[in-house]
Amino acid sequence: MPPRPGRRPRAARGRGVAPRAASAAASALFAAWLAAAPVAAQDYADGQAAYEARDWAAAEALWLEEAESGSGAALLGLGNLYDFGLLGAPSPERAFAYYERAAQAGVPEAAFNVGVMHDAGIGTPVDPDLAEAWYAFAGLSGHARAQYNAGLLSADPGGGEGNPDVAAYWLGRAADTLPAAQDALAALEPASATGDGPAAPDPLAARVFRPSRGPELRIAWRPAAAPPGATYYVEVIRLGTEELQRLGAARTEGSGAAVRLADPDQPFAWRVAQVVDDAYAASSWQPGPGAVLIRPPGGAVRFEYAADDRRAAGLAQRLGGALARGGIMVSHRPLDTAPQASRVVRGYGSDAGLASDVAAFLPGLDDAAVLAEPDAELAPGEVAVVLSFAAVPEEPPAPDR
Amino acid sequence: MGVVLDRFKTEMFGMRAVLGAVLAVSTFLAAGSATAQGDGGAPEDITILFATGSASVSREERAELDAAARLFRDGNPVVMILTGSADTVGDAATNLDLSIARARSVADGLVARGIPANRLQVLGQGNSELPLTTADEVPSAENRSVRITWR
Repeated sequence: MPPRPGRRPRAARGRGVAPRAASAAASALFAAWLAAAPVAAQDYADGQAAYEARDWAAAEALWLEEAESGSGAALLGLGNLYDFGLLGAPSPERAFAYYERAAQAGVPEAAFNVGVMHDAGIGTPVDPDLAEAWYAFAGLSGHARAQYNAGLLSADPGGGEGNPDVAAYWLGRAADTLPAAQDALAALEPASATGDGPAAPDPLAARVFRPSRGPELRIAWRPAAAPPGATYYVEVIRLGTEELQRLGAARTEGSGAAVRLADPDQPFAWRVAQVVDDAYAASSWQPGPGAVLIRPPGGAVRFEYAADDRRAAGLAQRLGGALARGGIMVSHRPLDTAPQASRVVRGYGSDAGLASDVAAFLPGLDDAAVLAEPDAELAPGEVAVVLSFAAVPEEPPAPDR
Repeated sequence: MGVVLDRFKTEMFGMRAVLGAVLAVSTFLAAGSATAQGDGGAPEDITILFATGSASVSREERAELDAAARLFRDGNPVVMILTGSADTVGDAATNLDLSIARARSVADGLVARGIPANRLQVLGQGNSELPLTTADEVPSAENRSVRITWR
């Protein structure tokens, strides 16, 4: 065995002069002092400086301090110390735990490490789903090798049909820095135009990340094989005692997305839909960590009315309250100008049934008022209820008001 | 063939590679056997096969490069050793050059996948220490290869 590399060059240099003390007793005392001496952390500007000087113990002490204030680089460094066994026997488990924290603090390299460790079963059990998810998480923050691995896994999931469009999404992102990604991109078989409709993606994982640009939820899924041009719509909703509410959404051609979160500690749930033309197929709702999903939302309704149309606003409030109690997500959007007529608008053919149900629930509207309008802002599972009383003469106010 | 056995040729990607390799290997040894796949062993060896007289990695063999690159982590105390070989058909000196060219071609493929060049050790063995020992002038697919091992 070669000597362990855990020396402290700078400290050793200073202390090397001391053992001129002649007596054995003094030497023993000195040895005892040396063993008990606190880490000479003050010798270094930061953990990285100590690490570069190969003073592993000082690096650990300094990085632990820096990690207190949430430094991702310090957490990555601590992971390295345990990964490489620089503080004793290697501890892949502790390394993994630090890498995961570093990743969630926004360090792409650490996220890639977490992916590889799930992939290979180092410090954590082998988990192909989490490996793929973490390659996507790291890929979302620009890690080229993670994007490359995500692309290869999408092209050939090892059992089941691949998704060349999603593979192209990841490989295309890696191609700037990895020449092999260009080759792999060129070698992709085009998506087969099966004529099948969309199929729900497999939800893989979601984690809260706190990069410097602000907290975000990264979500990863394994898309089913799809006809060319399929896109993916992820949606994050707030759970809890209040009414269901959309926290954010994202649309992508890949198998992962980040959704900004104003308050990452709020309980949430998410789902992802594969969209092909005006049809979609959504996964079931996935509760976030620590969250409990008692009843998934039964759809979403967005009320639209002119900001100065009091009667429309009043009706929207009453209807919205009833729908929300029925488990529908409700939102309101004031319009600048009064719409021509009341109607129900759906964004997706898959929501025709929901739109009819909502129309039947509304006074004076029926299926004839259901319009299919392309509306990029409507989510899968969401219909817009446009209300207008502009053409209805207002009754005179009751005398006692 | 005997000539080649004596002419053991090693190529490195510059001096930094040597230092990197020595550091990484000593760290790895100090760390014991725990790293890479499963319960501790290094990843399984991977072999890239070549067509006769060729040093370029075929499309089919690229998946093996992907497998070799997939689990490499930055800072992981592992050096990849790429050992090129050639079968015994033809001139021994030419085969030595061919084996080096094959190992370099695999190295290029790994670098194209984002593996830092200073973590690769390129080795050409010509007709010596062949995966499959044969007499002279025996074609062998197994010997037209580059073995990827980890240390």
